Amino acid sequence: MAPHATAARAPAGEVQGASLSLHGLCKDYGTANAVRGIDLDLAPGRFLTLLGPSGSGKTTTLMMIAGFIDPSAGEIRINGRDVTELPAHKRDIGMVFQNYALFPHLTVQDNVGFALTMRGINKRQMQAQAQEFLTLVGLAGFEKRYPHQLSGGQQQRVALARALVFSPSLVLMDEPLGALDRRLRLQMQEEIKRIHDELGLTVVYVTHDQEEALTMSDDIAVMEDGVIASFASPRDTYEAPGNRFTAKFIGESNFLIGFCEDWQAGVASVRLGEQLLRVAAPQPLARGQEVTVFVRPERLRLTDSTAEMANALPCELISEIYLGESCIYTVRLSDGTHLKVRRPNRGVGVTPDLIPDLVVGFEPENGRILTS
Amino acid sequence: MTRRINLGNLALSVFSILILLILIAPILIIFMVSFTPTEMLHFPPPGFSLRWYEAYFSDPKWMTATRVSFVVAALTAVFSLVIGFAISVALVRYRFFGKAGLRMLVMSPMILPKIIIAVGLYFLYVKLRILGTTGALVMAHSIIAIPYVVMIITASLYSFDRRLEWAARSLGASPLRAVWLITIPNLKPAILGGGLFAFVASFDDIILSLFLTKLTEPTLPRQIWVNVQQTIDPTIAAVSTFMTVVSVLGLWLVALAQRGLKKG
Repeated sequence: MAPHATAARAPAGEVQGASLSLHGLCKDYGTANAVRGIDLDLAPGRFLTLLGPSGSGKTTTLMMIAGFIDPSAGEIRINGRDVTELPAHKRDIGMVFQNYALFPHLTVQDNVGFALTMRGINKRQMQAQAQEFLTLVGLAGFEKRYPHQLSGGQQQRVALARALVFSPSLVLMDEPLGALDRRLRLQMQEEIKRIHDELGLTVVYVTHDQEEALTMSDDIAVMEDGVIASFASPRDTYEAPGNRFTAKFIGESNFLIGFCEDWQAGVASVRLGEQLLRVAAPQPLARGQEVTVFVRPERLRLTDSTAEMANALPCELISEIYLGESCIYTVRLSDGTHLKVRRPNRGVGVTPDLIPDLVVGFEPENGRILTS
Repeated sequence: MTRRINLGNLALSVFSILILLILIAPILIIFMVSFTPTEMLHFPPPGFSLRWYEAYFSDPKWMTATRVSFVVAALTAVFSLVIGFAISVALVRYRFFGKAGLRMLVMSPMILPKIIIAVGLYFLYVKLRILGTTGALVMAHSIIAIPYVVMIITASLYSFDRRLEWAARSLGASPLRAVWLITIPNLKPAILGGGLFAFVASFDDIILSLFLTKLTEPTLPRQIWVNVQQTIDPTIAAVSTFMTVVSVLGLWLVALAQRGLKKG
């Protein structure tokens, strides 16, 4: 199901990732519930992303794991050990913050070595180890600088080195790349993945950037309103979202609402006005049940009415957005529903505005039935 | 058009300079008078002499007062920084019952007439049998110094990024260690500023000192007060100039330290 989720990851470094379990984790602030019951089990060495809109409780969850916010209820276990009551400084968790949170009055070296100094390691050894980790993030030679003398990307690397220097088996990252420009962000994504693979760490990563979540994670937990709406590999999260919220939050999506007329061997027949659509549906459905048919824009095709297609709906072209490598067309069905269609720019074929009797369609396996 | 603007600017400049002169005149006059060679306060002084400085620095009464003032002001600065920092953290970081009340109580000495605080403390100290002790005076001065400290430190605590402290704790520092190693160094400008204000609040207080010091161990302002009532000689001009220089030096040092910190 998740092809790249459990790729061989023999930890090359000295660190072995920790497992993490959350059970019924809650946080309420007076009347408002920030987090309303989180359950998850994370295997050692996995890269988990908590993805969600602002206010969905992802950062609050992260801060509870780190020990900065006390949960109202529930339990946090690291490597099977209950750490719910353990103060933050005894949890041995590496932490990378949104705006880096580098100590402005300390040099890069003293920032990176801070955790070692706290552990009573002598200065010589601290400096050697700090240097080793600065080299790991490509910042050797910057030891004597102060944070304000570094660019955003360099500060981010220092923050990363500082969080890794004491060999934590669990590292938390709170939107660490949010303040960087796009090019630098992509570069840092690769860097973080490389370090994750090299050290065999367990990482919990918070972001609201879906692309970042898809490219970096082994598992994605989509959060909505203080609960986990979906927990799956990036591929499953994108291809087979369990509900409308997940489908909408990750990527672009089209929804068609109809009634189930029949279900046989993983394919549902859905009544949509005059039309009968055939759509993949792994779970059995009851006859007459209201269902949502979900199709990604890149899985829809625009052709003329003579083309062979399982599901073909007559439509009318409304608008076109030119994106270079592809075009997004908006079409209107006879019942007024708007659909988005993404067409790769292959430089061949007739553009939709020149097609007579325009239809939009898809094969059964390119659609999905959502019931919630 | 431009003529009118120029005229306005000129008027504003003249006005501003006049105001500055009025503000600085007493200090200038005292400064000049302190160098008079005559037995009486003379302005402008008919000559130049350091005899009144010599009189000040060689008189054990003046020296005792100076020592008392410095000791009390320094202890007040330290004491009100410790208490004021703790109160500031409580006010900025925590939610608790009676927080608004605590804030009002702490800040009230700023608006309460000092004489009322002085009279109240006088009777309290008599009852406690601590009237005239250095500790009692330090406590009294701290009451009027703490509001300044709290005002300055809360302002900078609000803008202090708490995640710095969190980062320190994630790296293994206990909460107290995180405050000591991260928060306090980063609040140094505010702490220096608050300490200076506390020092000055104590150093130039006369009302509390009048009620709460012994005649044999007065503060500098009280000694000036006594002196003015007995014999008006130019020593007080020399003492006043000295006090002004101390205050200005203090301000200058803090400004220098803050600039150094920003560059650091």
